[in-house]
Amino acid sequence: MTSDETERYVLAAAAALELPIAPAHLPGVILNFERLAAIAATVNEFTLGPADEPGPRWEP
Amino acid sequence: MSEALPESALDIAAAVKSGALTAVAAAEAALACIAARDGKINAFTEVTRERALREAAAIDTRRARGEALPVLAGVPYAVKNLFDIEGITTLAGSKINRDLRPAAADCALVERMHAAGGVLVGALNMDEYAFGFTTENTHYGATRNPHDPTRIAGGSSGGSAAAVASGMVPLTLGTDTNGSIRVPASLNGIFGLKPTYGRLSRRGVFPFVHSLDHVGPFARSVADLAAVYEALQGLDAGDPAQAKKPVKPVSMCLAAGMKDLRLARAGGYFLEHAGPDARAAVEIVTRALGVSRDVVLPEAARARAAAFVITATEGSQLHLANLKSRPDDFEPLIRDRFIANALTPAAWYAQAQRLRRWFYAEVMKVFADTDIIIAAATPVSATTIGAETFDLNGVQVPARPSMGLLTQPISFIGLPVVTVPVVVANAREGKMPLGVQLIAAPWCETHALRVAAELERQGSVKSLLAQL
Repeated sequence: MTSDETERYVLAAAAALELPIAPAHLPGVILNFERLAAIAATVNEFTLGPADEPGPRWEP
Repeated sequence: MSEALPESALDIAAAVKSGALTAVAAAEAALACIAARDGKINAFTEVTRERALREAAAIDTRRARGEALPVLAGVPYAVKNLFDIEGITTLAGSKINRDLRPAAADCALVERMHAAGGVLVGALNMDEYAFGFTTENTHYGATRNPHDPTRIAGGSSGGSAAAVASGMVPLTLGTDTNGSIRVPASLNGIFGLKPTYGRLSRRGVFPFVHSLDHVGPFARSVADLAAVYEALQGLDAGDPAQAKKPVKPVSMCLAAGMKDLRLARAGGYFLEHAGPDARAAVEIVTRALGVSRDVVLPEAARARAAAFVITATEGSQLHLANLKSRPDDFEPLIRDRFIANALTPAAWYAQAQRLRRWFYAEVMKVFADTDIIIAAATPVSATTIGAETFDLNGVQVPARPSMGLLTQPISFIGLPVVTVPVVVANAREGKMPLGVQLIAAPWCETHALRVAAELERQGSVKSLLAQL
């Protein structure tokens, strides 16, 4: 994502969650989301197969 | 420990059982030690004097009646302030939780410590909501490293490690989601045990990341660590993540040596992300154990990244209501990160949880011919309080998240780890301790404790009591 796209995503996702972000916090939130996105990219680019189930197991 | 008390928890218990020391005298000595030393360290957020003297008097009464006393009879201990203590508000390092009612009951592990004869003397400082590796807590002040008070104690269980390293108590309890037992154990030069995910009950412990949260002890000797770990085991229906495993005695195994155990050093990622002193600490341990073989945990960097994503998602969702209504009451050092994390797309989280299963299967292949994997616990020794970055092999990395580089891939899949303290001579900074992880296969805490005991017997690792 570009910086503009990141900002648009942050504002849209916050709106969907009804999570207000104070103007003073917004630059820090965007910076931290960019860092998280960079870390997540290494996870998301890894190829997993349909049989690779999530870690947690529900035991009713 | 204070001048009046033996250093070891088991020695204190032995003295109480023999009558050489009363439990009340032991409690009073620990309380006096806290009063004298904690001003320099800031490990405690609450001292439970009245309760300590009450629990201690009960132990002395039982002895006077001729009752057999439990394993930790009269041993002073303290817990990270996210463990519920009856009658005290569970802060979890936050300002927000001050508004909660005092805990109605002790958490499961404090109940178990009480049953084992432990005497609770207080609650300990931490990063807010366990989200950090430094215990630079704006609300309650930074916990200082007893070996050099200008440096961090590590976190998030920084108070737990500093209280032990400074001799205020011989035992403490903490939690570890991404490294919060192993990082402070490393930086304070003491032993720490992060058991297998699901081994010990988390009932009554304020959560951080349900998928990754562990609880465990700190101590200054392997025998003490094993004794408290034994006391903490047992099934508890109150923790839905606890595995249905029988209690596994470990203390009797410590003298068994390690000839039947297959050891290897973690190569690849774990060497690349260790600084010179951390690699030297690993070298001391591998040389002492005669280890010449490396193993590689595939995609460890991605595993760490996935732990990051899971932590971001679950950790922020837990606090979403307060992030909406009172964001300014959060720790300023992490508030913006908490808000950003709350916006994590679901697809990222699902992918991270699926990668967790994949990574677990790959690491289990490594354990097919290996019992213990050896890796540094932290990339560097304790950094200066307030440091924003540190040098890692020529690259400036962000100080606060990077302390967990070597622990996160391991807790990501719930492996048990004993962190052992190694002193590495460093001409530039004096001697600061560093820890090495002894990583075992799931449910094999005993293997890691046996290797730790062997290293301690050889003198290759040793807990450091800070001179304050």
